[in-house]
Amino acid sequence: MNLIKIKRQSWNIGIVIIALGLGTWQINRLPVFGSYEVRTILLGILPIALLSMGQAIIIIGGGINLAIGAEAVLINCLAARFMANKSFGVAIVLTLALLFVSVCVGALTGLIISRSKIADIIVTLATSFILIGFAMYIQPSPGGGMNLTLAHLISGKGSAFLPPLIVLILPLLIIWIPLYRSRMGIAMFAIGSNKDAAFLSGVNVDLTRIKLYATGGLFAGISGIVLTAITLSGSPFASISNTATLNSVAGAVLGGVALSGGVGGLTGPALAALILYFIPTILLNYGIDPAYSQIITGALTIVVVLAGGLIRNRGKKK
Amino acid sequence: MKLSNKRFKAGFAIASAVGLVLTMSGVLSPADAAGTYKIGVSNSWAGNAWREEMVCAIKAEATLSGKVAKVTVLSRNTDSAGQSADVRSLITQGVNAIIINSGDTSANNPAIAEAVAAGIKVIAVDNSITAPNTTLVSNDQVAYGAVGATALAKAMNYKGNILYMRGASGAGADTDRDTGFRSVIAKYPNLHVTKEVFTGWDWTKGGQLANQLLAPGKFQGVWTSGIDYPVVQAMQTRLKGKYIPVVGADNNKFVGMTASLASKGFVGIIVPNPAIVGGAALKVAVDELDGKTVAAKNLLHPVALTYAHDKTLIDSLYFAAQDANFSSTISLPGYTTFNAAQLFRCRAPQDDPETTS
Repeated sequence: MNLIKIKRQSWNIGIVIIALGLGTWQINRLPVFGSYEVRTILLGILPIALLSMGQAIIIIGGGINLAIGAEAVLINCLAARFMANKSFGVAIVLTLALLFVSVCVGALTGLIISRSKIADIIVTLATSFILIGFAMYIQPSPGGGMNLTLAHLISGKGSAFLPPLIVLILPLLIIWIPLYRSRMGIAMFAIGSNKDAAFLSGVNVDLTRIKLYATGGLFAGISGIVLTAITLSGSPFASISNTATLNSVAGAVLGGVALSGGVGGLTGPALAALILYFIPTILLNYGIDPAYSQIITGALTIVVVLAGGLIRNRGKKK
Repeated sequence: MKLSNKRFKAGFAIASAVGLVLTMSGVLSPADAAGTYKIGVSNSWAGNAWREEMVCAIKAEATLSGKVAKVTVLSRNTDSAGQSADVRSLITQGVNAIIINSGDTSANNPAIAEAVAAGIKVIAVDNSITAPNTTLVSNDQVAYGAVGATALAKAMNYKGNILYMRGASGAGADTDRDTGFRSVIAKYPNLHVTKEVFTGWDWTKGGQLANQLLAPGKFQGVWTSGIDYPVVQAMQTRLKGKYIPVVGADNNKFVGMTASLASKGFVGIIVPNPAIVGGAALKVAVDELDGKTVAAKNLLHPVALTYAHDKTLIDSLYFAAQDANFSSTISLPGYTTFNAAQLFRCRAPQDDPETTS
């Protein structure tokens, strides 16, 4: 890797170092560390890592989706409701159908934002209530299930840590990298940096936005399917979606995505989920009040955003 | 020029990582182990007085048992995926038993099955779970719903409208109490549940709902899943000082109101739901680890108390110095050995090894 590539990856390297530091600390506390422990960590970060990646795509394009957690909860409830006691083949078909639904929900959100010209934060706040309402209608109380073969294929079984690792990395490889290299990827960074300039340069701002929200929705859908595989049930609670949404923003920001748009990638948010997992886990294990882990996570987010903002501003002046 | 910025960026990240780790490891020194059994606790709801008392009962009983080296409590507000992660985290720490108050009857089953497969004893406390090969230590929640409903039906002369204030949808205890409650109410054709609401076991929400729903003549009785005294408070304003019977739990303030408002015609029906069931769960966990045979279901049998019949007992349950929502049952004969002071100290074995002997 040459120096320019290292420069470009500096944020990710920083995140990796923090995560490695925390990880080493956690691993040292464990009596044994093997593949089961790796799987435990992967399952701990997977739902939030996927959501952070989806949120990151939208934030890079200059938006924000406060309904991303609700999208995941809706897919979780749909999956648990309709996949219970179904054969493997049917479950696979349903998974693909639900991922399509999540893309449509995302695209629809993007369409409403583009057409109405109402701020993203307002539209998605409203859609989050609507989606949770649908989730409660579909699955009024927690329950449901999923085909066990499919669940093991997603979340692994025993000490099989490869399945969750693949579920974490595959979306990066087959969704993010092609997107990043495509015209749409350039359009995404362009509208995130300066919507008007992008429009004047011939970028179809509305269409790009709809595509970005659709891609974000796809990530939320994968996260919802993963939630179902981990818990083998669906839970229609607004509290889950709210926490997940806020964590997805924290993950995106910690992962080097600027809230002002136009900056960042998806590897950072995926790695940042590790940090969001390790801090509460380590502190809880020391018997420290869970409120403190939230304070530390919050403080860390502010420090990172401040530092990132300072660095970016310095860069702009020169 | 740009290069130096990026270097600064990377350098800052490294420095902050190192700083973070150093600060935290300096503040926290690992506790010394002094005993044999390691007990893990997973609690899906932090910041709730009842759950905190439950955790304290586990710690106090573990300290007194002399057989427990360490109690690791993973207590936070989290969803099922988070609690499953906590259970797995406890497995990786090599605990011998896990006491879990599960936020969902089945969603933690995959993680629990992995614990059982690893030879860890899993004890569900308070909320039942559907995972096989686990032990339940809980109030008999079906009976809790039934005895309260029976006493309420009697207090209402077997007729009238009931305001039915449940707990949290999907929680095992709520489902079980509902089963017990409905089995009794179905027997009386003149009793009607005219309004059913979920308080989420949230005191503020319960109070708000009572204030919105109570109106003179609308209801003749209230069943609550333990969110009790805010309902009595709401009656004081909404029903202009008239009282209708309320089923509640052994919450300190409700116990106090049942005694003090009895002369004003208030019928409070107390169905204890002891938070110190955590202490009973710890004893069952230690028994299992000792190789003793333990029943799969260990249920406490609640009895409905009214001031007309159980005046002395109710008076003894009121602790003027404790908080309003303190669960005032402080001893379960046959299960717990701590006294009030030991419970209030809330110390796990690793907190003060000198007192474990």
